[in-house]
Parts: sequence; structure tokens; C-alpha cells
Amino acid sequence: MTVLALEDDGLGACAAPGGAREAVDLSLVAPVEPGDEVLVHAGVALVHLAAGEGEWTAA
Amino acid sequence: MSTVSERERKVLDMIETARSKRARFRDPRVTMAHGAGGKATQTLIEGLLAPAFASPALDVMGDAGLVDVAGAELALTTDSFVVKPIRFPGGSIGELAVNGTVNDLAVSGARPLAITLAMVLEEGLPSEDLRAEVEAIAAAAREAGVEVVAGDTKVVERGHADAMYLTTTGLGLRDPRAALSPAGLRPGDHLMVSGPVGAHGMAIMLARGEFELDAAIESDTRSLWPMVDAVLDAAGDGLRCLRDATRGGVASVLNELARASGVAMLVREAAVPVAPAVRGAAEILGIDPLYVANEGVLVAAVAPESAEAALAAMRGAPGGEGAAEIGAVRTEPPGMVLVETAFGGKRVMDQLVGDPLPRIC
Amino acid sequence: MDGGMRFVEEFRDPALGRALAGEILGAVEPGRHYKLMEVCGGHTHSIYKYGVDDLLPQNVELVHGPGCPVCVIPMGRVDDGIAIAREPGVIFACFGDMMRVPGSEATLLEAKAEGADVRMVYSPLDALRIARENPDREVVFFAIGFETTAPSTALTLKRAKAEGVPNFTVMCNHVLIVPPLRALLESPDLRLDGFVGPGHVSTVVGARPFHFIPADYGKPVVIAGFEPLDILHAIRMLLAQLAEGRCEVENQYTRVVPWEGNVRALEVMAEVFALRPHFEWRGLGFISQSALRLSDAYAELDAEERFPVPGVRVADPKACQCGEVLKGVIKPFECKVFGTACTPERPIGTCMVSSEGACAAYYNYGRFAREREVV
Repeated sequence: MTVLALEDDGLGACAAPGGAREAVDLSLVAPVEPGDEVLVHAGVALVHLAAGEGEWTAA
Repeated sequence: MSTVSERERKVLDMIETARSKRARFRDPRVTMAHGAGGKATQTLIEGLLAPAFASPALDVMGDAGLVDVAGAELALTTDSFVVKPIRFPGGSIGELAVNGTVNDLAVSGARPLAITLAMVLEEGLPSEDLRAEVEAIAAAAREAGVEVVAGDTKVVERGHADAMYLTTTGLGLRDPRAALSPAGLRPGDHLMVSGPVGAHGMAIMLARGEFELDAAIESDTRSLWPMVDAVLDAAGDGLRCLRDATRGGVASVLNELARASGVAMLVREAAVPVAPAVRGAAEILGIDPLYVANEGVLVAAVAPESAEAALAAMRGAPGGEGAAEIGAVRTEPPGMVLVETAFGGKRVMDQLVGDPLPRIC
Repeated sequence: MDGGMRFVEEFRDPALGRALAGEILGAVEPGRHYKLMEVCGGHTHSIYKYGVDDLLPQNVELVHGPGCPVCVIPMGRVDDGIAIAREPGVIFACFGDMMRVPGSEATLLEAKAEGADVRMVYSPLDALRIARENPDREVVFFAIGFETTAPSTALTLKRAKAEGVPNFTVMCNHVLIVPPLRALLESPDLRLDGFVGPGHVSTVVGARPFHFIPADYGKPVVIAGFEPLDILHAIRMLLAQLAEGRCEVENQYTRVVPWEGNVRALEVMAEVFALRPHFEWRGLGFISQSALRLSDAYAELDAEERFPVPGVRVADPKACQCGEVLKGVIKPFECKVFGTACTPERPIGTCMVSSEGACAAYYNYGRFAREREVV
């Protein structure tokens, strides 16, 4: 999901592809900034995905 | 692997026998699953209601019953509406109550003529909420070209109903162009949906505010008669069967049709239209949009020679801009719906037991 | 936002999938049968959703592992949850897919039908919000899941404690991924060639905890992502290890899984949770040090401390052979209760509870699979 905005207390709003928005606890991956990609599970961001790592590189 | 052992064959045959038996309603209590349109609902209908009333019209399990009255073929249907919240993005309970019933008539090939309206109101309901819904009903009825010809009002104590429950009964006249029946399905028929799927159910799920999740999704509630009218004109008796893909979604409707007709269905997942916002929210919740309710999407099975005309007619009708062919009727395996996934593999698309529940794993 | 969509769509490219499937076909030794276990329920779901197994050669068999967190909760724990849910004034919050898991007499969905206030939530934070909004009610969150979900529960408990939300407690059923794997590997009749390692669990615990699998048991592990290409890629990597005689932990999911995991998440978990001496797994029996309870510092937020729970152990029926199915020793139809006492409507073991469990899938789709093989 893409980080949209940061709020107090480690929380933030994130958006999925298509625009669905979810309130997410970002404290385990802080610091993040709006525009960053994170992996979210059960309302918590577990991984801060590095830019440019979304390419398929199996071959 | 390719040789089936004696033991395996026996076990599979035993399961087949158990599955093909008429469902028996043995649950100790009614649960929400019985109202979700999946296997539990089917058990309730086939195991309790159908045997009790023993009506040939009911046994067809269509969206409306056909009755012959002095030479006129009438279609009759009834539906209750218990949505929470009563207003949601894209519509409200009053609009649903008209369109839902009108659509059951339309997909049965009947021109909607009139509806009745029964209201169960909760004590304390603000009058402005009631007025808003009455106006929504009137507007939707005008839009759908039906008259509200009778009604009833009951009030129950606060806490004994949730704001309001509506029941509408619809009367329609069977259109002479329509010869719709699951029995008419033939291998090679084309399967279509009249628009992007899953919007209504997802809009309601988000409007309940139970999840910290928000998306721009609106209910698709609308009368489908203008579209059915256009498709009947374009496809004539090449139009085999129509269903209104309400609760349980497109997946449940296809399973009902496959079971009722003994054919198989193959759906190409990549061809199923889903709005990006619906897809995104569904992915977060772990729900398949094909199982999510619609209030303005029909599923059509059309003979190959009429398919192109039917699709064009759908696309030209209000709400049909996003219509698409999603698959075909096949012979094997009978009674089952298969999906060719966007990734190229195949799987079975079964009926759910109850509501699609968000998954965690 | 379109960029985000492409991000995902790329990993579902059918042409790349066919190419990988072709490479897998070229990598299998003719006449050899491969049994690979995907550990994680999320992988099982992806395999089912995208029909991944349909693209594999017949002699590469995927065995669904014990990693479906709702399916492994034993009947006695569901009974305890229902007992709490029936306490007057309690709002009982749980994940949606937990609601249909059977206890000895009922599911949470049925308890709801009988009047218990059971609510479906998407995250433990939703349950905490319900507690804030209903200060006159006791809100209990039924926590389940592996190390993927445990951080979410842990952060929620930290928030509840910091804010002093007095009416919020957690019934903790969090389990660990390594102990059941070790239990499977310990069994002398195990018939597995390698493991597709859990992706999301590894984002938290990292890759290190899986080193014992090649080191102690001589089986390769490839940690994989959840898109269909990820899974095919991991299978190809496993086959390459087997062909080359290598045996190690590899990480296919490097774009998401760091080797060391999420250290902050592990710290929060260490603060909030403590190991249980043993925990029962549906179909697998008791496994020592395989689950978490709340640590003493969080005892006041422990639902099992606040409410009376029956704590009665309900034995899995003796005839249930989930363990053997998971180990790949028997096929679902060879289990003594399959299709008779144990059906998708009335499941006994973990393999029948989830619609994607090995037994439920076989019950529903076995006939189709058989026809496909004959064709």
C-alpha cells in the first residue's frame, strides 16, 4: 500500500491500488513518508518496501 | 497418480451420492448464513420451503413465479429488504426495495407492472428518515414504470427492528419475446454480465464502518427492465436465461444455473469487469468480488449466434456500458462452475456456505 | 496509484507464468515424484485462487502445510472463546474467517445466533476502537495468527495499556511457525522433499529461524512471496536445489523479506508476549513452546485472567488423521473419517476446516481433479 498521510502516534492513512484507504499503524516501519510503499497485515505495516524493488526479476 | 485406486473411487462415489441427495434442513437454529444466498440458503429453500409448499412454479427456483390467469401469463415475486445502514453511497433501502423486486420480474422475462409495499418501522424512527425513503420509493417506482398499488404499515417497539424493513411484491406480464429457462442452456452458449461486479455489496460493507477502510464505491442499484427489453429485442429466443446477481454474487448465480441445468460453466476471470476501487477493497479484505452482491447487474446466457447483438444491446442500455462476455457454457463437469484464472490455471468456483467473510491468512 | 496496480499485476503475468511452468517441467527428473509443502495458508490461498497447481507437471505435488492460522485452533479454545462471548456485557471481536471454525458444540457464528454479541473485525485496532466507543461494555479480542499477526495484537495491547482502556482484553491464541514444522520434520514417516517457506511470517522473523530445516533435517527451503509467479519461481528454485544436491534456505521474496526480519516487531512481541509451555494444535496434538500468552506485565489485559474459562480440552476424535495428511503420508481419502464423520459442513480436523485445506479441497473438487487426470 502507498502511504498517504502521517498522523500522530505512529498511525497513518494508506491507499491500496484502486484508491481504497485504510488506517494503518506505521510505527514498526517508521520513518516513512507519504508516497512510500509498505506491506500491511492486519492494520500494521510490517515492511517498508524500497523504491524500484517492484520489478519482476525472476529470469 | 493417473490411475484411480479402488478405494479412492469408492470414497468419491460416496461423496457424490451424499451431495446429490436433496438437501435436508437440520440446523438447530437460523444463522446469518441462511440469509446469505449460498449453500445454507439453498438448504433452507430446498430442504424446508419447497417441500412444504410443493408448488410446481416454486420448484423451478426462478426469480419470479409464473401464474396463468385467464390466459394472461403473469409473473409474481416478493422480496424483503433489511439493509443496514438504510442509506449508503449510491442508494438507500427504498430504492433497493423497488429495483430489487422489479429486477426479479425483469430477469424472469416479465414487464414489471405494479408493486405492493409493506413497511415494518421501528418506534422512534425519525420522520425525516421515513419521508426520505418514501420519496426514494416513489422516485424509483416512477423511474421503473411501476405503480405502487397497495401497502401496509406496522410499527414495532424500539429495538425489535432496525430502523425499517421493507417488503415489496411485484406483478409483471410475461413478455411474449421471452423464453427464459435454465433448461434452455446449451454447451457453447456465451455468458455475459451487464456491468462491473461487486459494487453494491462492497459499498454496504464499507458503509457499515466496521473496518478502518474507506473507498469511493457506490451501489449499482437500478431497474434492469430497460436493459432486458433491449436484449430481448436484439437476441429474441437466442436469449436462453437471465439472472439477477444479487446476494451471493455472480458466482452463486452461475452455480445455481449449472446445478439447475446440468451443464458446466467456464468463466474467464480476466474478462470479468471489476471497478478498480472494488478490486482494491476486495483484495484488502480477502474477498472475491464474484461472490459480492450486486443490485443492478444481470447474468445472461446467450446462444452463440445472438451473442454479439445481445452484448451490443446491453452496452447501449442504461447501466450496461461495462457489459462483458465472461465465459461459456460447457458439457463437463456437469453442475460445476470452473474459472480459468487470469494467471492461466483452472479452479472450481464453488458456492459459499454463507456470507463471504474477510480472511486473515 | 496506477503504478501501484502495475506493481502487483506484473507478478500475475500469464506469459511469464507459462515460461516458468515450462522451466519447471524441464527441471523435473522423469519418474521422480516431488512432494513440496507450502507452509503458509496464504500460499495455499494463492495456489487455489490462481490455479497454480494446474500449471505444474503431475509429478510435482504441493502438500498444504499447517500454516492456516484459523484452522489450527483446537475445539477447546473455540469453546473457551464462546464461553467468554456468552458472558453478560461482553462484545467478542474476532477475524471473519474465525467465525465458522467449529468448537465441540458450536461455532462463533452460531453463538452469535443464540444472542452473543460477536463482531467481525479486520484488525485488533478495530477491536480497541470498539472498546473506546463502548466504555460500558467489556470488549474481548480473540487473537489468532502466526508471527505475521502477532505484532498487530502486540501494538494494540501497548496502545490499550498506554491509553488505559479498562474494558479491553485479549484472548491470546497466537502460535509460532517453527515448532509445528519441527514436529512434522521429527516424524519418521515424513514424505516431503522441500518447503516453500512463509513469506509474511518471514517479514517479521526473517530467514534465520528456518536454517534448522536444511541443517538438521536435510530439506531445502525457499521463502516465497504470494503472487503466483513468486510461488512458481520458488518451486523452480527448490527443484534446482534438489537437482544440484544443494540444501539451504533461499529467499525468493527479497523485495519484501529482509534476512533479519523486522527487529522492532520482534521487540514489541517480546515485551507483550511470553511462551506457553505447550499448546494444542487441531489435528496435530500438543506441541511444546509453540504458542504465546500475554506476558506478566500485560496480565491485566489477559481475557483468560479476567473471565472464567472452562479450559476443557476437547480431544480430536481418535480417527482424525490430519497429521498424516499434513506429513504427506496419506491422501485425504485414505483417512478413516474422511467424508463420513468429517465433512466440510461438519469438519473435525484442520484440513477440512478451511475451504482450501487439503481435505476440504479434495471433498469438493476431487471428482474434477480425477477427471482432469484422466483426460
